[in-house]
Amino acid sequence: MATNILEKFDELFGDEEVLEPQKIELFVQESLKFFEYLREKLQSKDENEQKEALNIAIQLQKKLESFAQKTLSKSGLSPDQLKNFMAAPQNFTPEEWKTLENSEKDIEDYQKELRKNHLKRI
Amino acid sequence: MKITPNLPTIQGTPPSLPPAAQRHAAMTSHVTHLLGGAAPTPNTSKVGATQQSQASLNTDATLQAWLDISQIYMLYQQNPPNTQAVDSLVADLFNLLNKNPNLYAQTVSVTLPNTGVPVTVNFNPRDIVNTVFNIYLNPSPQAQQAAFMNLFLNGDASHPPLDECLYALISPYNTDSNFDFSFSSPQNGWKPSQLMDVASCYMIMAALSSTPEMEKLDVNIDKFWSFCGSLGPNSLVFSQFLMTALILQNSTLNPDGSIASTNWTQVNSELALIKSELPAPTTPAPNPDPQANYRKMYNQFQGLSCNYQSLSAAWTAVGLPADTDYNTIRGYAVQAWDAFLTNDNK
Repeated sequence: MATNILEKFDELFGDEEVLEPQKIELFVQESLKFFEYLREKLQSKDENEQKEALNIAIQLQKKLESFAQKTLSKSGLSPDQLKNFMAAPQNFTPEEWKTLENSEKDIEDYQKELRKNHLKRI
Repeated sequence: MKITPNLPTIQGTPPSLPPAAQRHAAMTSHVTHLLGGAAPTPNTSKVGATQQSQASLNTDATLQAWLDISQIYMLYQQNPPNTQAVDSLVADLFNLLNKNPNLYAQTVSVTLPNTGVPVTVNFNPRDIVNTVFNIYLNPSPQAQQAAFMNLFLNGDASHPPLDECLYALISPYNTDSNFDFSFSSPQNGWKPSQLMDVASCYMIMAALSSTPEMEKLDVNIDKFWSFCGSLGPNSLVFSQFLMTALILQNSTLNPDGSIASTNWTQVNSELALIKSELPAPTTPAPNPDPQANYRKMYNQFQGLSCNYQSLSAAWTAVGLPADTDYNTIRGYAVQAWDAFLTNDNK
């Protein structure tokens, strides 16, 4: 299953170089499911399983980084300009803005939950 | 006849919107970047409470990245390289970037609090960490070692030599006129973080100690120790923190961040070197003794030895559990370093 994650991730990206807004939420939700699965594997007591998950995690990071860079370049914005661009609702349609808010919330909730779990373990 | 203009309307799309292609590319990039911050890391089980305090401040995260990189360098200097500890630090770096999704910074600018001198270091944390990961993926520890040392000392097509970056970051503290470790007078004792900043400085300096840049740095050791002496009644605590830094940089770590084993010979040899560098206070002590604090620190330091008991004592002396883990120590180091930069002595 673990090795399939990267393939599934590629499927999510599809052949398109930029995701249409209606696909973004699905992309985020599916990605978060993958992340959770990988996190469990990274904490596995089976060393081989852990190593495999580590490699996938690193490759996944690379994919995300590369995708973020490519799409940034397509937007014609610098990283700083992107930050400002994304902070201005007037740059988007109400539907797009809603999609962004939902996606950001999904990611933030996921991270909050992780932090809560980490603190419980300490 | 009334003419009704037949203007095209685009529902829900005000005319001032940027082009759709740009909006969608920006949205995709933004969301993907955020996902990168949430993606799993090799040591997610080690994320400690202290890491919450790192928040998303670029300065904190960047300095922590420097600390990690300088320590990786120290570990790769050992033969054979201490790959277990390197693994842990690489995982820390990975985690650091994940917890700081706002790290877009290409360049780090720090204004030194005492002098107002702006320092700019070209530093792309993600890029450097990716390079380190590539090195780390090589199954041969010797190949990893060679590649990392080369990156550190010579740089590559994308990076300046990392030791020069560190030099740029540290050196303004170390000129005669600017090197100033002093904070405002401590009133009620020093917090662990305030003590750890010195340990952090020490760790970075130690990382530099065998690089060509160190020769340029010409550490003003007298001022450093003079600062140590100014810690006064808490000098023992400082000594213990310094000792902790020594122990940590010569230890291998378990996957959970706890210390697995320590090269005590190396620790005590470095400690002996530090002891020998301490200038002896004037004897006999005059009354009143202007060097009273330094004398106390000097005497305590000369009697210091490094072992697990004294490590535990270092923590309990400042009210922390004796088994305080490595991540917590690092958390303090980051906070302290930031406090050092902002001269915050609250």
